Amino acid sequence: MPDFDLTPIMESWQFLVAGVGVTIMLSLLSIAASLVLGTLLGVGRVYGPRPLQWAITFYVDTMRSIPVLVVIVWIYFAVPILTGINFPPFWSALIAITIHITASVVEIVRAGVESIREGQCRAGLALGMSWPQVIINIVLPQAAIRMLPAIGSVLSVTIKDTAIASVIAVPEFMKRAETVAAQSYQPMEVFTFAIIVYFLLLFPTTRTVDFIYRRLSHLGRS
Amino acid sequence: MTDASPIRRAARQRPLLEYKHVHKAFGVFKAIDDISINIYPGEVVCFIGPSGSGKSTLLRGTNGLDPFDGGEVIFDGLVLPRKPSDVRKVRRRMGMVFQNFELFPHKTALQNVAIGPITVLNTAKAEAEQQAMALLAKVGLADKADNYPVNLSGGQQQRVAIARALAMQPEVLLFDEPTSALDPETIGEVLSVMKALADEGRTMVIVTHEMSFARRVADWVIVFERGKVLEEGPPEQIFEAPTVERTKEFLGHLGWA
Repeated sequence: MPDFDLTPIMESWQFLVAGVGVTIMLSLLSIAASLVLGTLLGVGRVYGPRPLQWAITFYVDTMRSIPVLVVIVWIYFAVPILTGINFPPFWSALIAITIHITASVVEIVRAGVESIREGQCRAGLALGMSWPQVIINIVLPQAAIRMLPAIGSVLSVTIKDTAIASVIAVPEFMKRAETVAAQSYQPMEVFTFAIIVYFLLLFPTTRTVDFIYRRLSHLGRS
Repeated sequence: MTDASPIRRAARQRPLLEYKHVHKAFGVFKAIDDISINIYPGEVVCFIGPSGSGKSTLLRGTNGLDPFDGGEVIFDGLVLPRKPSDVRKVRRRMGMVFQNFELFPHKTALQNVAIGPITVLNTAKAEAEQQAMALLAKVGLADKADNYPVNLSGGQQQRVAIARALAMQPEVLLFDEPTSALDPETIGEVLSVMKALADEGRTMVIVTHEMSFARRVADWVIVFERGKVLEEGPPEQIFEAPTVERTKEFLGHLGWA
C-alpha cells in the first residue's frame, strides 16, 4: 500500500474547487436546457403532426447511436470548419451535452405522457379545455411526477458526462484534476480525490430526487 | 308520478337535446343503430339496458368526446359542430360525470372543482375557489376541500366530480354509469346528491344500472338493446307495465317483475 500524499491537492485546492464550480455550472445549464427542449420535443413526439413525430424520432434514434464524446469533438472541431461558426469550449460542451441528453429526456417525457390514462384527458376536454390546456394543466404535471425517478438518473448521467468536456479543454473539474495529476506526478491521490468529489456531488442529488419522488408519487396516480 | 312526463313531453317547448338518426359502429358491430330521441329541459332521463346496448356510447357521443359516425346531435337548437374549437364552446355547456370519476390526482378537491372555470372561463382564481367551496358544501364535502383525491373514498371522489361538472354551470348533466365503480355502501351518498340535483329541476341524462333510482327519480326512461331504442316512456310504464316483451325480460333478469 503506497502512502497517500495529499500535498498536490492541498496546494491546488482553489484551482480544483473552481473546476467543481465549472462542472456544476455546465451540469445545471445542460440539465435545464435538456429538460425544456426534451419536454417540448416529447410533447411534439406524442401530440404533434406525423412529420414532426418522425423528425423527433429520427433525432432521438440518431443521438442514441452516437457517443457523447463524438458529439463534443464534432461540435468543437468539425462545426467551425463546416459553418465558420466557432464556439468556445464551454459552449461547445454545453451544446453537445444538451443535444445528447435531450434525446433521453424526450423518451422519458413520451413514456410519462403516454402513461397518463386517457380518461384524464377526456375529463379535461369535457370541461371545455383545449388540447394545449389539457396537456399543460393535466397531463404534464402528472407525467412530471411519474418521470421523477428517470429524471433523477438523467441528472446523474449529465453530471458525469460533463467530465468528457475535458477533451476539449473546458476547465471543469476533471480537466483540472488531470492537470494537477500530470504536474505533480501523483495521479493516484488526485484521481482518488476526483472519485470522491464526483460521488459527493452525485449521491446527494440522486437521493434528493428519490426523496422528492417518494413525497409526491401519490399525486401522480390516477 | 311527479310531473306526468308524457303530457309534459307532448305539450312542451323544443327539446334541449335532440339525437337525429345517430349511428356509430366499432368494426362490424353497430354500437348505435340509427337512434333518434329527445331530451327536454328540466327532465331527468335514464338510459337503461344490458351491457353493450349502446347507452353509454350514445351518452359519450353527446358532447363530441367520441363522435358519432353519422346523424346529428342538436343542443339548444345548435347542431353539434365537428371542428374542435367550435365543439368546445358547446361542450363547456354540458357537464359530464364519469364512471371512474377521473378527478385530477395532482389537485386538491377544491382545485379540481375550480380548474374548469379558471382555465376555460378565465374566472379569477379567488372567485373560482369561492364558488368551488360552495359547490363542495352542496355535495357535503366542504371539510374535504384540501384533500387530494387519493385520500377520498370512491363516493366522495364522485361527489367532487359532480361538483367539478357543476362548476361550469352546465345546462345539462351527463352521467356515465356514475355508481358502477363504487362500493355498495357509498352508492347511496352519490345517488342522493343526484336526487337533490334532479329536484332542482336540472336537465340530467343518466346511464345507470340502478333501477330503483331510475324508477324513483327519472321523468323518462329509455331502454336500449343492440344499439336501438327498445322502448321509452315514463318510469311507471317502463317498470310496471312495459309494452315490449324484451323490456320485461331485461327487467325480469334484474329482479323487476
